[in-house]
Amino acid sequence: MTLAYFPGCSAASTGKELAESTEALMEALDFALVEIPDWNCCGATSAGVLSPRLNVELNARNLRQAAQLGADMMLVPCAACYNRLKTTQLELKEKPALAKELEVPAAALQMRIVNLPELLVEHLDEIKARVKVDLSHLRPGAYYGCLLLRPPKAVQFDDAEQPTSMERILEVIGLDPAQWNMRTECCGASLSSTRPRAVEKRVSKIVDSAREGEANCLVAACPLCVLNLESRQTGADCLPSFYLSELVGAAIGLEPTKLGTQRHLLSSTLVGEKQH
Amino acid sequence: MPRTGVFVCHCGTNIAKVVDCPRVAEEAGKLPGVAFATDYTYMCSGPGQDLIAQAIQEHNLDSVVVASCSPRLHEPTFQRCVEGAGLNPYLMEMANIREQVSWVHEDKSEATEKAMDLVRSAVAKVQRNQPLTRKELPVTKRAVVIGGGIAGIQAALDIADAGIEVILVEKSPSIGGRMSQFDKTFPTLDCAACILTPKMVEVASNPNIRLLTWSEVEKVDGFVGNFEVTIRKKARYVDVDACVGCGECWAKCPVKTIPSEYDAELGPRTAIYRPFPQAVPNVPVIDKEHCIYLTKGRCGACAKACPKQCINYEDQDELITEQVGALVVATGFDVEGGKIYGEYGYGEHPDLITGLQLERMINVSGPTGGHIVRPSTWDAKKQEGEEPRSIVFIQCCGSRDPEKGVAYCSKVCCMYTAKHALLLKEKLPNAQVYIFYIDIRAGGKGYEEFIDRVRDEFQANYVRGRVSEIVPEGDHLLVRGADTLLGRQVEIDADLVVLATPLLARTDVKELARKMNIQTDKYGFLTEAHPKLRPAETLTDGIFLAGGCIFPRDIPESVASGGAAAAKVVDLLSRDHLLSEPVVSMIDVDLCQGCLTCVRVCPFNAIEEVEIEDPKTHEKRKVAQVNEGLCKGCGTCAAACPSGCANLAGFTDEEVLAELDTLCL
Repeated sequence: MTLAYFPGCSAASTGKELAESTEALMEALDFALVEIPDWNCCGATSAGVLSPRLNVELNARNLRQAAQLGADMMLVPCAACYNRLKTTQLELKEKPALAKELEVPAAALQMRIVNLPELLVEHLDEIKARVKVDLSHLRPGAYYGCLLLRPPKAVQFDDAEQPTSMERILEVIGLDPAQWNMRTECCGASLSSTRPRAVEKRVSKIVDSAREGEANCLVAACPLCVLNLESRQTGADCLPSFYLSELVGAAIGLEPTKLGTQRHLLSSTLVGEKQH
Repeated sequence: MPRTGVFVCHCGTNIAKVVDCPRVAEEAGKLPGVAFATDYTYMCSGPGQDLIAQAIQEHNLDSVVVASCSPRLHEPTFQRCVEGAGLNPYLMEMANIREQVSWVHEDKSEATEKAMDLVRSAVAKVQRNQPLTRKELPVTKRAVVIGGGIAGIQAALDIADAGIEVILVEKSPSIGGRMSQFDKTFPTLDCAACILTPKMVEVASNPNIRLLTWSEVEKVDGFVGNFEVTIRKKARYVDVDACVGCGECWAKCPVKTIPSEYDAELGPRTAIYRPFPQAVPNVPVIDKEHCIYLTKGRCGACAKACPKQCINYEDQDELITEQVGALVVATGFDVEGGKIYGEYGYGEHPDLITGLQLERMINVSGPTGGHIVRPSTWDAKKQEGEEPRSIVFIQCCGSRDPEKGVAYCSKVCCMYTAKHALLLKEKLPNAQVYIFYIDIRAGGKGYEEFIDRVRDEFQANYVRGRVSEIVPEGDHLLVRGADTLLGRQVEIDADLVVLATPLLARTDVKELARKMNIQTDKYGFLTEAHPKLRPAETLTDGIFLAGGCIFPRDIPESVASGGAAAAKVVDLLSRDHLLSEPVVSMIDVDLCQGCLTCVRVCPFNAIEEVEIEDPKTHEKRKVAQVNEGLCKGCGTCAAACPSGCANLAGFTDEEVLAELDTLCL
């Protein structure tokens, strides 16, 4: 199956391991990723604050570019990009005049935009058939953050308050995900550079909550979440964070180096050694 | 030459501020055939109507045009007025210069022009109108009440007391409705059962009431005074007449863990069950989905236990038809199940319950025998559990929220939450009670005083603000929210959280409403004929509404509306005959080709195919015939008829075309 692929800016920087692991995993699961030609920044949360129109225009262009590929589905591994593209797509669907003005073709409005857990949860059997490596020493707390699930009207993915997709995927690769509270809380990404103290407080609450649920690592599907969880954790005993694509990739036997696992800020080991 | 009178109304300033009414009257006076024209401040008032009646006499008028508001509002008023002055009521036409002119236009000269156009076209029509006469229709002096909650019970009792036979149809195994689930009632705190159950017994013993529980209305045909109601008596598997409610059967039933609807799923029931001890009739039903015998063909424990051989596993649904003159729909409301705000996590934690569940818990005949406990700690065998020390109530869990829930206020939650707080404080004086609210809505006799009492005397902590989320922490619940009066975030450690969920329109009534031609609003509540002046009627003559099917209502309002609907039924059925509306379709059989297009387009199934015989040639042919009792005068057939033989009385082609010609030519 061919998917239009929107890597997002972080794929080349702080979230390189997300891009590497996603691409490796998709190849192993027989998905062909075709990068959208000349895509641009989604504007994340910053552009919309300055000008809502700017945000729409940025993503209208991305949708236009994607439509050229003729694919039915677009994979967006970054939660922020996913959120912006979905929100814009909905807005353009609701405002045909605006879609016309921005020259967004109908195909771009019908294209299904998915995030990685959303795609994987629909292919549990294929994943299960390929599982080779025992990762059962890991007890991950699935962390959804805010952008993957909200606003529910626009993203229409899982249940915004009680999501289960990541847990279902983790169970398929032989893990017993932790039951914990703060799975859908915001990590504080927007404040990470302006008010790092506030984010430290948030992250430590999230990590504490995951520990209470007896998690020994966190798994997320957003480069902003993982960056914050890693860089804003305080104290000596930090909880490692992984991308979902890394864990699924490792479980089906992909090399950790191919998944970019060595790039994490906190030392994290996927296989062999027990986590603390 | 016709002698038409034109009467232009100012409607106070409603019309006169935009339309030059004296000028409209003056111009109307110059129209051909207009013998008299005048204007007046309030044409619908006593002096206004006298003015019309007098003019009819003095000027020997043969038709009248009233230029005022919509005929939906005052057509009957002015019809009565001209009829009183000796004119046929259908020789009166209205020109709507309020809704169609003054309320929607600003420019005075243009609006006046338009008003004159409308008057001109009404004059052209009325001069071609034919006098129409109402026919007498027979009345079946029986009524059906659908729904055996407090509103339906009240309606049935009041109709029966007036000497009219009533069939009370209830969907569930017992009458009693929502009120039977309540412990005490606000603001007087009298026990719900003590005031409801005597009424239920009265229903059962009243010789004029035939009670059909575990039954549903399937179809309503016919028209006012002459309805034919099809009722499905669902298979009960228990002989209602022979059963004495001894209880041997449900004591022996091996299926014991079905969530009880009556206990809001907080407690269990058996597969053969009586919803509650005071049920009327005091006869169980078998839940065929859960009964082992009915699903797997073995067991039969209840049949063996029954000392009177009442159990019949072969029982079948039965359809019966009843002829009645009027119906009351009192089907009540639904209570939302706590799922609107996912962030509260209802269903994830047993100590998070709805108001209705707490109501059952407080009740002595409830699942915990009246003990207030944390459901997570309840041991059904030992009948004990841990008492909560900190209880949080959250108001508006979906009400007043157009985004996620419903835009309206559910009206009863502020009061029942206050009642719950009081009852909890009576049972657990040391517990802390917190109530998160947006506004306290306590409009009712003694309501505000009750809230004051709960807050001051019983020390309930009212916190103005919303709860953002509820998270399990250890074995209790952490309630996070905002106190908007202090401008602070608050976190409360709760042992028990109670959600005030919205009251919703019942989804299963929609189909019935459609069949009975009752309008529903955007939420699915049934719509009254007029929200203020005809609150018990529907737009379908002979069908009346009562209770919470119209909108969330508390007990006093439901009882009042049940009584109001009953009064309307009694008024209708006390007449010896009814007068039909003469604005019905007329089919000229000489012209009819028998194509039956009209039969297919008629939304009321009022036209049927008949065979007629030519009196001379004795040739037989098929033609369409109108049932005037069913015809609502919508005119669809007249528009669809290809040969022009269908015409609507009062709106014939000649009359309507004259109206149009005046406007357009």
